[in-house]
Amino acid sequence: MLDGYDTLITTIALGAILAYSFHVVLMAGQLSLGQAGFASLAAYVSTLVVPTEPIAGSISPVIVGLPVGALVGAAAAFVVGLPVLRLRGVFLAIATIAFGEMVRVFMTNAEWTNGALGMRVEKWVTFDFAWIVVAALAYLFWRLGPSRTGRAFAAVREDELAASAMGVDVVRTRMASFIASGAIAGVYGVMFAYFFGRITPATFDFGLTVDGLVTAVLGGYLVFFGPVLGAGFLTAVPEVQTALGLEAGWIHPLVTGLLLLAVILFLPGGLSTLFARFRPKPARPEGDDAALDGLAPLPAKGEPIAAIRGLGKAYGAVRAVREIDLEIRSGDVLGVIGPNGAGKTTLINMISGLEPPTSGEGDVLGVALGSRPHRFAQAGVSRTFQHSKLFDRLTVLDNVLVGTHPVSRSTYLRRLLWLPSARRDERRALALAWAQLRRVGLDDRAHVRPGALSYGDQRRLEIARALASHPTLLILDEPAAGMNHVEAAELADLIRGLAEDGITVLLIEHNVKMVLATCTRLVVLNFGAVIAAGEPREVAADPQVIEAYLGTEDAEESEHV
Amino acid sequence: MRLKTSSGAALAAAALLATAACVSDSTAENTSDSALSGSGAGEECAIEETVKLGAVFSLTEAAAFAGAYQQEGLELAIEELNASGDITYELILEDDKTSVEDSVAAFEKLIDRDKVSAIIGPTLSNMAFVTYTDSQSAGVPTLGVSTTAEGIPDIGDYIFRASLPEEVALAASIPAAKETLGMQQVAVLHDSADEFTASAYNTISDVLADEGIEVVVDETFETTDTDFSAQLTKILDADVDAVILSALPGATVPLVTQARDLGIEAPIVGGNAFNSPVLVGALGDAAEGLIVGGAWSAAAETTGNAEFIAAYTEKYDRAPDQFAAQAYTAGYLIDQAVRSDCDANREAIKDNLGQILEYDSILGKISLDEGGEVTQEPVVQIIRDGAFTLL
Repeated sequence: MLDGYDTLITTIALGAILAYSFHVVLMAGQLSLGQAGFASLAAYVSTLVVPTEPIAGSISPVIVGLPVGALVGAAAAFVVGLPVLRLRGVFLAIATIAFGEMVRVFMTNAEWTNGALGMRVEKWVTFDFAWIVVAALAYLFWRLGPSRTGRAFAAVREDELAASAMGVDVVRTRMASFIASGAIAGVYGVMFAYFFGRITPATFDFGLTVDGLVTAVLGGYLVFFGPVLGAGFLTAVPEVQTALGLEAGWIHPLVTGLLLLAVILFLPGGLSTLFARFRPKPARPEGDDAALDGLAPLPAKGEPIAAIRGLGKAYGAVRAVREIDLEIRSGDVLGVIGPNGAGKTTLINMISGLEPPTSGEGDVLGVALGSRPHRFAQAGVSRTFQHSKLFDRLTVLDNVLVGTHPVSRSTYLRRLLWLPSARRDERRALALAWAQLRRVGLDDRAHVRPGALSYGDQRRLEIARALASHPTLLILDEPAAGMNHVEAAELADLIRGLAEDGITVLLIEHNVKMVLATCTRLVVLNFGAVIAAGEPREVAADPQVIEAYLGTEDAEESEHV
Repeated sequence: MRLKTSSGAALAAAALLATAACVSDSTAENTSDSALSGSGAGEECAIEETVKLGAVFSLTEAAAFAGAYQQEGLELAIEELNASGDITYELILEDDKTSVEDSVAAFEKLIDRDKVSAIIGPTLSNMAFVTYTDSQSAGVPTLGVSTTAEGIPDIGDYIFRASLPEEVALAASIPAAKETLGMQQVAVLHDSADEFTASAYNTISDVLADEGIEVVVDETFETTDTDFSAQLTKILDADVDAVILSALPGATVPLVTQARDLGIEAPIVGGNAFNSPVLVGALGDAAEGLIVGGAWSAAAETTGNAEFIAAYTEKYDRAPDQFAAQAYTAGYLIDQAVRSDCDANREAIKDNLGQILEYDSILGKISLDEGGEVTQEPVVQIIRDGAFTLL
């Protein structure tokens, strides 16, 4: 039935494999274009190890080449990744292109590769073999999607800062996606060599990279079979045109180009957009408070959470924060107020690990200041941002699920094997996420994108996401900004409720009425230094505070409500 | 329930793995179709069924400069053949877009879906090395018209070529140039990234040694290079009698132009790639004095050459080049092979292609041997006043 279409079908498979090597980095938001180099290295190295005769009579010798190719690609990606993964966006793209060119020039000039003329090998790859490899890759990505690792990839793609604040190790996640990309590109190189029976250094040129990237973007990252869609589309379009009787050489690329343009313009998530809406929505679990019971107990009231001495942050000559001593004890609801530019956000960025201090020392939940942010999150620090940093292309529920990162275990490998424990862990994470959505009152909006929420709802979603990590210390950066009276009052109730549940809260807020109504202690900053601290009502009455911050004699009238 | 479906899927996958990881040894089994063999012989041969011929040329992308001429030359031949005899040919033309992937797919389509009797092409040797193994294992006689690299006919007994190897063309032009120019010291420049030019380089070295000519500069470049000043400066400094060049047309134009701009006055001796009116047009004055070894010349008084040039120019409104002439000849060679036993089955064409002896074509007397190699007299030309002249 498929006679005469073998090559066509195999070309789709090979295109899909190449596209998966781009898919995996795009999933994590990295623009890496070194795949041609990884594929080339792997293809050439595999020719050294693949036997010339079938193994045990009839098994394709490429079976040996695939793991070798994957290993070579992964190892090369690791070595290249160490220096270049410091770069982002277009700089990373250029650095990785440079690597691909280096490999090409090296292969052209090396003796054992037969230089620019390339090598000839046996055609051991058949079309069913190629499709089994595609199926295996599709399976890996299918299982990756709704796993803890998959969510970490998505979080890093959407917002690296927010991802690290949710306990995702950004450096490690980027490296993992880079190495996976190298391994898949390596597999592609080996498959290519043993399907066409010939490789030259020029085979793995920049054009190949562009093909792979276009296929991956066209297919889209929203579903796990996006690369297969992309490869199928790009191969089928010229064939369909031929079948329709369109002949002239230049028409094909033109029509293909126009269709490509149409897809990119009207389906921003690629062809996968068409399929993403059919994805089943996870149902709301019933009676799930059992999941919350299994969480580690919060520290008893009065235990020290953070102790900071002489903390300072200087940007060149500008000293944003100076000599701050701060102690936080369990059960506190600590308000930090001060005029704009007083250093409030810089202070909590240091406490949550997003910025290292330039002077002073201290620790938060046992993590020394200056450590990488995900360590703070894993220790039990969770935060929201002054300007919402939500994961825009994830649903509300998925946003909160990312928050469960520090309190859940990695499920990917166990999901690959369908172990029941992975299922239990994912159910638990879902239950935690739903519980927080209910807590902030967003459970009926779980399946929309954050962009569809009102401003106040977005702030509440950020709080739900922060709560999903079961924090010991919750840092809220101006949570009531942009909220109306009613919403702000509800928020104050929520914060009091959290404190009753034993969560320690650090609150930055301009809404003095809300601060006075919720906080047990108050710290006032001005020009980067503490000017008053203590019982909220006393501090608010301090003439120095009124002068510096409130500017009038009557605090009640200066509310930003 | 979920457990059942997943274990079922796992079973199915395992079964697939077990079968697909095996290498199947499919041997070509050509069934001969009696409708494809006719009555009569030679000129009288009549075959009822339409004979399907496949052609794969690079009609777009990098090698389109050659593919377009090949398409036109071959289509002209098929048109003439259909008008003259009792055999009807259907030409199925595929574009390989100058890529290995598309070339393989095109061959597969012609072999398995269109079930052609014979294939002509592809344009480049690089693709021929990959695709010819497929037509060999499928048992489809394949005739190359521009696949000049060393080792192509050795791929198998179904593989033939009607394209004068670059080494033969260059080997003829070097002694001719030596006689005319009295050259003693030469520079050799070659494209190391192409099968065709790299294999020619080996021959050049041998012929130069035989002729007692000293190589004072020996430089390489790659097919896609566009700047040759490093290599050319060395040649300029060495003050040679001639430059021997083995390059594809793509690199030839900038290379020769840059050489002349740099002040290299020495004559340039080249092979097949120079043999195109387009190239001469693109080079303009820089083309003057180029010495070209090739398979065909517009100036040669071979059988039917003048008629071919006239018919081609009328039909396509431009002069033919060597690619067109060779593709045109290939059509007639296939026709010869079909007529000798009045049989258009793959086996018969294969057997008879290898028997063609001194066939009188526009390329002169041309022979194909059973090993698939072509034998013909190369022509050496020099470009004078913008026109090819026999040397």
